[in-house]
Amino acid sequence: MIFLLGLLKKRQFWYIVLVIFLITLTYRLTYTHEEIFNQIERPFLAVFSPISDFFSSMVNYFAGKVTSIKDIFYLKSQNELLKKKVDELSPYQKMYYELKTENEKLRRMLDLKERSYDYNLEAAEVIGRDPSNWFNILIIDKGTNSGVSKNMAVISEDGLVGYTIDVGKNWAKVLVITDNRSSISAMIQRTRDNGVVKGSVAPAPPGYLKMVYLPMDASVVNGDVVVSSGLGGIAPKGIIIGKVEEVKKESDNLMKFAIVKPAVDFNKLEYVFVIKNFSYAGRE
Amino acid sequence: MRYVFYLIIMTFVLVIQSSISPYIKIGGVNPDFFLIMLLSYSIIKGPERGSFYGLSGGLIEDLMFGRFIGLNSLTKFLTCYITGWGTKNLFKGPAVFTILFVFIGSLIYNLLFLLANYIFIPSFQRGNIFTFFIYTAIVNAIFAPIVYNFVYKIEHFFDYYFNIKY
Repeated sequence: MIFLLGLLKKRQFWYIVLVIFLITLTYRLTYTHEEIFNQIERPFLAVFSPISDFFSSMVNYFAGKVTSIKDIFYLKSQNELLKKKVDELSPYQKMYYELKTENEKLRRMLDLKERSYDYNLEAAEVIGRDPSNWFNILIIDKGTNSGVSKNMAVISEDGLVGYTIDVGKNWAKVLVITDNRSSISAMIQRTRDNGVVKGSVAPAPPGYLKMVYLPMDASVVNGDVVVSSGLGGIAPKGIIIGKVEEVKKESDNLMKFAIVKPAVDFNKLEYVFVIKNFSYAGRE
Repeated sequence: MRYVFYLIIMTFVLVIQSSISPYIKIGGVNPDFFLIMLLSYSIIKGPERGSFYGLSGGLIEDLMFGRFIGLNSLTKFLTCYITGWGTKNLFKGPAVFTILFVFIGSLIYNLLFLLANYIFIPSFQRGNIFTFFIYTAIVNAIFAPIVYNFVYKIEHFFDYYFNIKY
């Protein structure tokens, strides 16, 4: 009691209480009214993004040089490996064209239009990353001026990166799929089992994904490819998310979950593509 | 004026860190130079000024990478206050002490950040907390003497420039 009375008389105590109160108030305001937060952050990021762009380009340039020097020693072995890979994949390529033609024929016979997604892509450069170890947010150098808006899927040549959560005139924040606040509707490519891919949620190690809500009878095995299911309207169907590393039962024994290794190496991400819109040509 | 200079330095540290973070990962963990800088400042200047800069730094981080204001501001403010208060009357000479202070400061920051996440983000989930806490604190502690030295020299220069020269 005496300690509490002493504490109440201290100036520092009231200073802390006042600051916590003000931060809580600001949090309530900006969390419930996103537009207020956007009004504050946009001018700030408008100044910050060109500086970040400059530093990012410089770092990427030097990193590229260093990588080039390092790569010289690996080029020969890498070349041989790639040649071997090409030899292995050549028959599959022929088989693919055969099956594609056959598929088209059969679809015509069944009076189904050809299924294909027509993406409208916008190339963007990664100019910033959340430096903390808690979250995974990227900042890209394209915004509303380039037709980018909120909740657009972001991909790289390897697969799904994430989706836009906040957009300015010349920048956009991308929530990466490994961020534990991210949820993407997905399915197992081979078995067509649907689920939801969440980022870095236990027991998935940091940088890995957890695919939840898999039915108990799903015959998912290690090495299965996980793709976006198209549900939710953010990412179009069929974008590669990653590969299954491990399959386990949930503690309630009603569902299964899978640990998924992302297809994209987020540490080497320099350029990405924003899917501005995708039209689904055809009917099933 | 001194505060404005510090804001510019803090922003630059954050920008540089966000640009180089993929290249400086140690076992999948980024050293948080921005946090080490704020902790160093709190160790040098004490709880009140340390927490004020912690609050400013947190606000910058919230605006740059956040989705609302409050998460980084609150955690960095409290971390800097506790670190500044805890090291107020301690001898800060050897680098070993700096390493220890930053290690404990990083642990406090992680703990406060975790609590703030559970309060601010209802859907928040995180696994392997203990390993993550210890490992990030160790990585930060490794770089502590370098960053502390940098902050100390800036403070020394600012003291000369603002208090003695003019």
